[in-house]
Order: sequence, then C-alpha cells, then structure tokens
Amino acid sequence: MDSYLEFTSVTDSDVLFRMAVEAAPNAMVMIDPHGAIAMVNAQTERVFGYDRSEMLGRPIEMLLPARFGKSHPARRDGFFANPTPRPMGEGRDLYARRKGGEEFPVEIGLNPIRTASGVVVLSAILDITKRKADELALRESEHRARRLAAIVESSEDAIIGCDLEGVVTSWNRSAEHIFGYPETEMLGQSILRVAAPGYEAEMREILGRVALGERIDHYRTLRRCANGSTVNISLSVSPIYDVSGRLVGVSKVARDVTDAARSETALRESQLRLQELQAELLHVSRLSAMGEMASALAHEVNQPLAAISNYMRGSRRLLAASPDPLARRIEDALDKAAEQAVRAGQIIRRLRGFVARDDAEKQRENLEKLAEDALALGLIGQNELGLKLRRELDSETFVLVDRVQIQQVLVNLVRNAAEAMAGCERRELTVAARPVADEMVEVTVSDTGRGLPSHVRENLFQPFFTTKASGMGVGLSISRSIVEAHGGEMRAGASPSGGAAFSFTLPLAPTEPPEE
Amino acid sequence: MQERPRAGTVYVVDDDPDVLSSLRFLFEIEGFKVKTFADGEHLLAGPMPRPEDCLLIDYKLGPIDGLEVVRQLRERNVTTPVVLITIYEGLEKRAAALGISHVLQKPHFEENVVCRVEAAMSAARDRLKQSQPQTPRD
Repeated sequence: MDSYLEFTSVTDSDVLFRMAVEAAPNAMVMIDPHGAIAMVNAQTERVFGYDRSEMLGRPIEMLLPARFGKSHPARRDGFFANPTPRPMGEGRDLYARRKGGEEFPVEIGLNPIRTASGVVVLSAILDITKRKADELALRESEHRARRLAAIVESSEDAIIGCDLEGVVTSWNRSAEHIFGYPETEMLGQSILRVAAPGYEAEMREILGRVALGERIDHYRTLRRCANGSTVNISLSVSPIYDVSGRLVGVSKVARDVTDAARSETALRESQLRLQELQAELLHVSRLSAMGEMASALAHEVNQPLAAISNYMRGSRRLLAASPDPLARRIEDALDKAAEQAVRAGQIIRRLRGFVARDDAEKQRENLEKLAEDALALGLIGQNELGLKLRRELDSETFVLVDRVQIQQVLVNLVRNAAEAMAGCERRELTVAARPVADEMVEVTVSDTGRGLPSHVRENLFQPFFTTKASGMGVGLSISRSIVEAHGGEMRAGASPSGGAAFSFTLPLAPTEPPEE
Repeated sequence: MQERPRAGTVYVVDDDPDVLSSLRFLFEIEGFKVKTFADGEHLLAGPMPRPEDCLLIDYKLGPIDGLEVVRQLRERNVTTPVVLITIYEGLEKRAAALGISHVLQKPHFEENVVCRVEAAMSAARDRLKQSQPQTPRD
C-alpha cells in the first residue's frame, strides 16, 4: 500500500478510523470479544516496546502484569456482557507491563464499538508514570512544608520572615511569645516595631547587609517587646532566595538570651567584686606587714627603754637621800637621761601610729557575710574538689569591726586551713561562731588536717615564723594584732578531729539605735 | 636601802627578764617587798597575793595572757588590785570587767608606774576598810 492509495481512500470511514487511531497521542488497543488484540497504534508500540506483529492476535493479558493475568479474563467477559464506555478499574491503581517486564501506572478508557461482526473494545491507555511521580513529589513537598512549618512553630526560637523592606511575612509562636505580639498583629507590619530605642539604625543596617546576600550569625542585641520591656536576643539573619535564585526576603532567628545575659552580668559583677576585695586585702596586708614590723620593733625597743627608765627612777630615788654635793648634778643628768628615754618611746609610738591603721573604720558588720566573703576569697586557687565547707553561723550576729581587717584575718585562717589539709583524705573546713562573755563572739576556723605540733604551736604568733616553703610568716602575727586591736584575743588549739582550730573573739555590735 | 617599809607586796609578772629586774630594783628602792614571775603559770602555782598586795602584770605573756591570769585569780576569789601593762588599745572594757584598777599603755615611762601601784593599793585599802567596819583593829 502506497501513500497515495492511503490518501485517496481517506473517504472510506474505516480507513479514516484507522488513521485517527494510528495518530492518537495515547496507546490505543482494540480487542475482540475473546480478548485477542485486534489492532494497536504506533504509540502502543512505543509505550509497550513490542512490534505490532508481536501483539496482533495475542491475548490482551500479555500487556498486563502477571498478577492480574488470572482475574482479567473474567472482568473482560463481564465488560463484554454489558459494554458501556467507561474508565477501567475505577478506584483502583492500574498497571501495565512493558516488553521488558517493567510495570508502569496507567489510566485506561474503555470504548465498546459495535461492528458487523460483533462488539469490539477500543481502549485508550495513558501512561501516567510522570503524573504519578509529580503527584508524589507534590505530596512529599507538601509534607515537607508541613513538617518544616511544625518545626518552625514548635521552635523555642523566634523565627521570622521578612521581605527586603522589612515587612513581616511570617511570625511563629515563639516570636509571639518572646516579643508579645500575636502573628495577626505583625503580618504586614514593619519589623522595626520591635526595635529597642536607639536600635532602629542597627536593624536597618542588618536588613541592608542581608539584602546584599550576607549572613549574620549569633549577633547579640536588644529588642523591644509589646509591653515596653526589652529582651536580650542572639540573632541570626539569612537571605531567602526563590526558585529562580532571586533574593526575595530575609529569615530571622532570634533566641531569648535575657537569662543568660543576666547570669553573665551577675558573674562579671561578682568577679569584679572579688578583684576589688583582693586588691583591698593586698593593700591592707602590705600595710599590716609594715605595721607588724613596726609593732615588733616597738615592742622590742620598748622593753629595754622601760628597763632604762625604771633603773633611772630608782637611781634618782637613791641619790635623793645622799648628802654628796655631786648628787644634785647626777640627779640632773639622770632626769635628762630619763627624758631621752621618754623621747625614744614617743618616736616609736609615732612610728606605730603612722603605719598601723589607726584610722581603722569600725562599723557594724554582719559576721556571716564577712565569713562568706572570706571563704570565697580564701579558697581562690585552692583545690575545692572534695573540700567540704561547714558553716555554723547565725545570720543575725553583728560585730563592731573594720571589715577589711577582719576579712583579712578570716581569709588568712581559711587559707591556712585549706593548705593544712592538702593531700588529706578527709577535708572539712568549718567556720563557726558562738557568743561568749563580755558581749563578745568567738569565731573558730577549724580543719581536719594533721594538727599543730607543740613546737609549732608555741611560735605560731611570732612574726616571721612560718612552716610554709613560701610566705613571710607574718599572717598569724598580723591576724592576732588585728584581733587584739579590736579588743579581742586569738588562740590556736586542736579541732575535735585532731586538726587545727584557730579561734578569735570580736566585740558584738551594739543593737542599732531606733531611727528617729 | 629601804626608806620606809610598806605593808603590801608587789607581784610583778613580765616575760622580759631585764624589765622584770629593773622593776624589782625600782619597787625595792621605794620600800616595797617584790615578787617577780616570768609568766602567769608560775604566779598561779605559788601562794596567792593578798588583798593588800598589788599585781603589776604585762598583757602579752607566754601561753596565757595577762587578762587570763587575772581571770583565773578572780575565780579563786583573789581580790588583789591589778595594774595591767599593754601595748594594745581597747582592752579597757575587758580589764574593767575583771576589776582591774588601771591599764597602763606602753610605752609608759612618762607615767610613774610606782604612783600607779601606790594608788591601786591605797584604793584597795579604802575598800577593805569600808567592807569591814566592825573590825576592832584601831
């Protein structure tokens, strides 16, 4: 058959039908009442991979997956018994089989055609592989979007979408919570609404930088909430691109770090306070070391001066009874020598007064607080692991002391105690206070170390006596001087565990006079 | 040489032996009987001073300080007047609580320690007379 013949026979309806089927974009398969393939078109060959000659006259089941092969003839007979045009297998997923055995999803329309020789069925078979894949992809992306939305909603961070002008396009639940504005109130509004006073310029700059494709990570800043309060946030801002790669907006993730900021501030403050206290202590201990040396010197020189003075007074009394004419001149000389001894004493007293803090500021201080500060300071640099602190203190005890000086005493004792227990298995440091006679309170710092050997105990309070490899050995001597300058006394003894216990007394502060 | 013998004994406690012997010298010239002790333990171990005697004691001593020595004496009902010598300030309150007549601040050479002791003894004698009016001694 040549093309011309074909063309000339276009008027023949049968030929016309065949040409239409042949040109159809879908696979078209005609079967006879016995299920044999009577006609296929070119698209069928392409879709199924068979040559026309391989299909014609064969049962239609060759184009079905094997698992449907058994039930299909019965269904087919059923259709022939009541042939109406309809889609096949409504509600079911239909699959066809290519020559290689590969299955693919299809949609099939059934069209019965009555001919002179009986009913035939022309089926249009649509390969829906791509459509199914698209549907699946769509479902998956919807699912992913829902999952992302759920993550965004449940995040503890505020997640905010904005366009390049800063107009809010999305506002999650945490954003509502942190900033206090509901989503409905913020959508379509400028993000500058949450700018803390003085931070508008910064927010504009961030938007500008991100609009140029920059990212901003964990930037600490301040924002304003609906109720007017401010919130410390850690901010990350990234650009949002659309599918074509065009920059269309920015996403902001803001974490509320107010609590973290607060504890950081508190930490910084207490570190500063510690540093101040340390500086103060260092200053005082230098002064006290000098004062202690002056004291020791004064004491040492005072004794012989006192002896000189006594001898001279005695000698002068002896001379007074003497009739010797020279006696008057000797008396005069002895008086002058006594005056010089007094002068030497005055010089020493001035020296002491100059160095020892006569300006000691005695104030009403809470003993428990003094002890807490001293523990904090005294344990700096000590191995606190495994060190047990016990406090037997009363928050209502007030003493009349120079705070820095008494702190120095306590720090000194706390350090000594901690150092005495280095390497001990049981390490317990106790600071205790109890009232004693004469409106005094006795403070005891005890440890569970090895205790004080008697030769050490005898010399403990001597200036420049030390058992430590480093150190001047003036700590306890200064401590005792400070305590005594407060009218108290200090002694060393043993703790119940056999460790050392240092006690000192301090005057209780008089009760505060009632306010006028 | 003893100008005029006196009734009371001066008990001197000081841990500096040179100071101790200078005080003995001074008080003996003034006509007092003197007993010296290098620390409080020795004083407490011997016969107790009487009410008409006087105790001149340094605050800073060996193992037990001057105030503690006086406290222990008071516990034993020793009412002897006491003059305390100290380099520290602020002991007055505790001293007064123990009935110590006078606290002598070091350096004390300007002040006549003998006068202080005499004053303490005379005040104690006055008190004794007042508390024992019926004594048919005079």
